[in-house]
Amino acid sequence: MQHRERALAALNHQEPDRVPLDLGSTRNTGILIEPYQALVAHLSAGQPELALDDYGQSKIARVASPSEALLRALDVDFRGLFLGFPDRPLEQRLPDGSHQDELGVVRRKPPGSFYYDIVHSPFDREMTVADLEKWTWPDPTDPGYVRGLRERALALRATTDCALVLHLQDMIVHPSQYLRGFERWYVDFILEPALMAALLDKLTEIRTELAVAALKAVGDLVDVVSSSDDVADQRGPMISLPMYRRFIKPRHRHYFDAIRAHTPAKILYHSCGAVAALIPDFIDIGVDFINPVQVSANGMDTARLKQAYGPQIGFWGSIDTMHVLPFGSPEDVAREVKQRICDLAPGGGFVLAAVHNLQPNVPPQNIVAMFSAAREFGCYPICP
Amino acid sequence: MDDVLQAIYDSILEGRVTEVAAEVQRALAAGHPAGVILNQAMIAAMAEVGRRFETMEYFVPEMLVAARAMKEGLALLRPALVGAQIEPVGKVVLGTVSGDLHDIGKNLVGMVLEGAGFEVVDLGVNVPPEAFVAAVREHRPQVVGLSALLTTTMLAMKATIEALRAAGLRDQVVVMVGGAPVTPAFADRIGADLYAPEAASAAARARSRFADQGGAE
Repeated sequence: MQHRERALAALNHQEPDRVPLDLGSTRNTGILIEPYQALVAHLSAGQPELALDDYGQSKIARVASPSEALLRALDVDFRGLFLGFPDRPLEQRLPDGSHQDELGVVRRKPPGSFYYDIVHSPFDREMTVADLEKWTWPDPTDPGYVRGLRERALALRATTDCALVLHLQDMIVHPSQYLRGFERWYVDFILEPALMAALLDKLTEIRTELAVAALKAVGDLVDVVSSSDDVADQRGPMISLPMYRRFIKPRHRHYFDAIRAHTPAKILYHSCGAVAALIPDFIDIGVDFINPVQVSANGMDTARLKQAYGPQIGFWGSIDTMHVLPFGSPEDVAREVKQRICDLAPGGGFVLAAVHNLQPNVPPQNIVAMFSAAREFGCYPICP
Repeated sequence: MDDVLQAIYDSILEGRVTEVAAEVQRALAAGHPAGVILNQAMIAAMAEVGRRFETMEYFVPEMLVAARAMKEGLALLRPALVGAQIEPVGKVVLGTVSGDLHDIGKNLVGMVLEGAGFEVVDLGVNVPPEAFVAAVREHRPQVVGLSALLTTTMLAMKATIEALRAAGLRDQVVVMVGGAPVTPAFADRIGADLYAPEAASAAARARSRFADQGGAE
C-alpha cells in the first residue's frame, strides 16, 4: 500500500495494511533539535541535515524539521506543511537575548535549559476591553504567511506518496494564557468574564482569518488540518465543563466550521492532558482525530477510550513520552507500542506517534524501537 | 456555626473577594477571637475548597479565587492574630527548582499552604540549590517545597536535596516535592520525605506530617 492510501484508510476508520506513523507532520508530533541530531547520528543517516525553523512556535519549542531521508528510513506516512513568515514581522529578538513573539509575549531560555519559558505577559496587568483594541495584533492578511504554501504542497505531492498535513497556529487558549499570564487567565473566568470573552473573540477572529487564507491556498491538496489548543491538564479539564462550554467550545466550533467550509480534509485537534470528559464535546464540534492521547494523564485509558468513542473519533499519538520513551528500555518501548496498537488500531482510526515532541531525554535507541515495533505489531489484522 | 463566621466561610468558598474583609471586620467587632475566625471559618473554608478540588467539583479558577478571598481576609485578621500571639502552623520555604521557570503549580501550593495556616517564604522560579540552602539557614523552615514542571528539570530536585545534605541541613527539614512529572517512586528515589500529587493534598499532607511529629496542629 502507498503511504497516502494507508493514511487515508486509517483516517476514514478502515483497516489499512498497517497502522500509519507520524513524525514531524505537526508541531506537536515532532522532535527537538538535540534528540534529532542524536537520532541521525545513531542511524548513521549521513550528516544531520539540520533544517531549523527559526520562527514562531517551532523556534520557541526548538523543534527540528526532520529530513526526508530520515522520514523515509522510519517509513513515516505523513508530511507536514507549515505556514510561512509574515512580511512585516512583529516577532523579534530583544537586546537582552530574550525572544518576543508576534503577540508580544517575551520568553527566555535559562542557561542549561532546553526550553524557552515566559518571562513577560503583556496583558498581566489591570486592563479593559478597550485596551485590547489598542494592542498591535498580528495581521492575518499578511501575504507572507501563505506565500509559496501551494507550491510546497504540490512539491510534496510530486516527490512523496505521503498524506499531507497542514499545521496551523495554536488557537485561542494558549495565546490568551501567554498574553494574560496564567494566574489572571484562570481567575478571569470568574472575575473578568467580559474581558476574557473579548480577548478570546479577538484571537478567534485573527486565527480564523489566517486559517481560511491558508485553506484557500491548499484546502484541495491537504488530507489533514492540524490545530492545537490545550484545554486540559494532567488531572482533568483546566476549567469546569460549563465554563469550557460557555467560553471555549463555541469559539472552537466557529474556527472548525470555517476550516470545514474550505476543505474536505480531516480535522486533527491537539489538546494535551486528561481530555476524556471533553471528547463528546470535541465530537460535537466536528473534531475527526484527537492528539496526543496523553496516556499518562487521568482517565486516558486507551482501551476504554476506543471502546467508548472509537467509531466517532480517531486517535493520533499515544506512545508515552513522560515515562516510557525517556526512562524505559527499548523492550519497554516495544511493549508500550504493542499495547497501544492493540487498544487503538482495530477498525482503523489510529495514527501512531509519540505523545508530543520527542524531548532531549529520549534516547535514539528508544525512538528506533518505537518505529520498528510499530511496523512489526501494526500490521493488520491487529492482535489476532 | 455562628452567622458571622458562616458568612466568612461561605464568602471564601464562593470566592467573593470583596466581601470577605468586611465580614472579618464584623466578626472581630462582634467579639470573636482571631484564632476562632481563622480556624473555624477561614481554614475550614479552604479545607472544603481543597476537598472540592480533589473531587473535581472545583477547578483552578474557583480555587484561585477562593485563595484570593482568603488572602484578603487574612490581611485584615493578621494584626489581631499577632495581638493574640497565634503562631503559624509552621514555616515553608517554597520554590521552582533550577532551570525551570514555571510557577502556577508552585503558587497554588503556596496559597493553599497559607490557607492551611502555614507561613510561606516563596523563593520564586529557577531557584538554584544554594539559594534553597541559604533560605533554610535564614528562615529556619520546617518544610522545604520543591516544584518542577519538566522531566528534564525535575532532576534539579535531587541536586537540591543533596545540597541540603552537604550543608548539614537535610535532617532539620521535611522536603516535599511535586509537579507534573513527579511520581511517588521518583520522590523516594531522590530521598524526598513527602510527595503530593496536587496542591490540595500538599497542604493536607504537610499538616498531617506535622501532627505525626507532634508539631502544632
